[in-house]
Amino acid sequence: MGVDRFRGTDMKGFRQSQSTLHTWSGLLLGWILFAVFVAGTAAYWREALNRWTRPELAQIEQPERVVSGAVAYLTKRAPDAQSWFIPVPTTESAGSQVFWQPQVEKGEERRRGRGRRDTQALIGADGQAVTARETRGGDFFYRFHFDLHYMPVFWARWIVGIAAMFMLVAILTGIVTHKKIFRDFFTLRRGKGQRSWLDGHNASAVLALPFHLMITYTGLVTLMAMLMPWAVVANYTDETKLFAAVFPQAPVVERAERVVPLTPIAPLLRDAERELGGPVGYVGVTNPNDAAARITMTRAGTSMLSARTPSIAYDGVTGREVWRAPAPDGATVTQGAMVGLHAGRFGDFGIRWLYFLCGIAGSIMVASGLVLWTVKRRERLPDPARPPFGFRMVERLNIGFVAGFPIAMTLYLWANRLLPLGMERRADGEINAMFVGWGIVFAYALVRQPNRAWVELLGLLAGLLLALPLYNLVALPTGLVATILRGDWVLAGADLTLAGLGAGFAFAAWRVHRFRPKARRRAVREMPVSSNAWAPAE
Amino acid sequence: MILLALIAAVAALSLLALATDRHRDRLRPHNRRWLRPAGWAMVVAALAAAIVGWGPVYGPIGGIGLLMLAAGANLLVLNLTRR
Repeated sequence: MGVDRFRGTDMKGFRQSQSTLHTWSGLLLGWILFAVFVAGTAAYWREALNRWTRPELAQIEQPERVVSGAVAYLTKRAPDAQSWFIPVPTTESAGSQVFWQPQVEKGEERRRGRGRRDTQALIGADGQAVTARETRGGDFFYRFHFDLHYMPVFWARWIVGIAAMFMLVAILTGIVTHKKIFRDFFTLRRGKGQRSWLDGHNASAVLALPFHLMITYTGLVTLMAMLMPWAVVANYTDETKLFAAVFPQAPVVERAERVVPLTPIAPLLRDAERELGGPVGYVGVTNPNDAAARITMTRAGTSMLSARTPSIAYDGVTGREVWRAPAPDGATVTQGAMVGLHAGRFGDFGIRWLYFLCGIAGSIMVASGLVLWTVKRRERLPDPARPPFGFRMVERLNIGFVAGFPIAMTLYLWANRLLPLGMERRADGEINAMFVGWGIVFAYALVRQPNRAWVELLGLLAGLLLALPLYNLVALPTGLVATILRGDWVLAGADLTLAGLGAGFAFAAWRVHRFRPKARRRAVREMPVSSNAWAPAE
Repeated sequence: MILLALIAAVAALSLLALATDRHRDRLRPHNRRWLRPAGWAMVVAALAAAIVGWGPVYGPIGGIGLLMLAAGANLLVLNLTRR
């Protein structure tokens, strides 16, 4: 960016306005963005965490066997259900969480949210139903990323959507504000106080800028029908028509009330894989064991970029193809590709790691931006011993979120390990443990002297993370040595990543501990350069 | 092929980094002229290798990812090894 060309006052006024916008949109939504960003980053390892949180389960070697086993289980358990739903696992999945919809008895009203648990089962690697500890595993971080928790999904998505819009504003205004980011592309000055924070903020932002722009924009696309419903409202008066256009489905058939056994599933899986052009991710069976049975196979989201995956339907008795999803139109493919790009389900381990590292860079960008707000203002405080209330609040909220939220996530993993296996509503217990722990940490951050709180909480986080693989090693059959010997790199990688993150936070804690602020000699000299104390540095 | 793309990406960003004002003192003066064009050529090579390795759909995504990774690695190595 040629900064020298824009010496005019107009440009200066423009940059000033952009930087004010950048500062305040970044600060006010930064805390929620940080939590959303960190949870989303963890969600790139959703499947791996699903396995990690269920150490009882054996690794899946033949997904087909699991699906055949699931059909056999459901034939015995729920032979006359309305429908069955069978996710097709991969060798990296925790298993197949099947569920079924029982027939609605005449005169019985459908009660909502009733007993989901007794209409679902987990099918393990050998095709048998297994009992694993009750947990939401990595799925929880995935849902929290856009649904938050303890609040209606509708409000949560609006909050996340607004935060994402501010994020897009913060990124675009940031490019204008931090005018030297491209010239200083490879610059990271150490031990220079505010300058170093700025370099770190800029580097984490600009080096992964393609990712940040992509993830924010496509994140908004995933919520677009809610955030900007007008195009849909203008074109579709009938909601069922919209659904038919966006999610094409095989025509519904009435139950024939004549018992006929289901055709074997394995040959159909192979046929669907051939016809759809990629492995199947989802099998739905309506009217099982009936003359009017239908089997629908949907292509796996892991096998293509677009999240709008095609499906194909078979006659459940003869195994003949009866329906196929029409080719999606341009708008659907565009939206599907953007959602797919956001979620990164298509990625192999290489691409998944790149996504994860970019997510970490984004988290560092948000966190360093939040800290920078206080670093910059501390130098200009009229009386550093007694900072104003707003300053103290931002300082402490930063600790509560930037150190506190990762602690909360680690506590969730610890709760997964330590809560009694037979506990009533165990999955909720894990989540409650996470938020109660976060509340305690947050309260601590509010009352403790900030520079001590940073060291102590980062140290606590590092300890919690480093101890997790050690606990696995001692207490579980899925310890690091065993998983490496078995060549199970998903679980071994999870333990090693946790340890690596722990080491990183330990280093951060040590650096904060050793940090001694220099004498405030620069404050006086800098005052006249930037008269607006609320503006961020370049 | 993906490994080749990674090597090309690291080489590309190293060359571009060494061409900047901050890091050019690491090289002798007569070597400097070629850095930037060679760096950009390696960027193209990295993207091409990624497209060959990952295919035309995932290739650009993975290629840009590798370039970002290489940029981050260079940033850390070049700045943290400075006295």
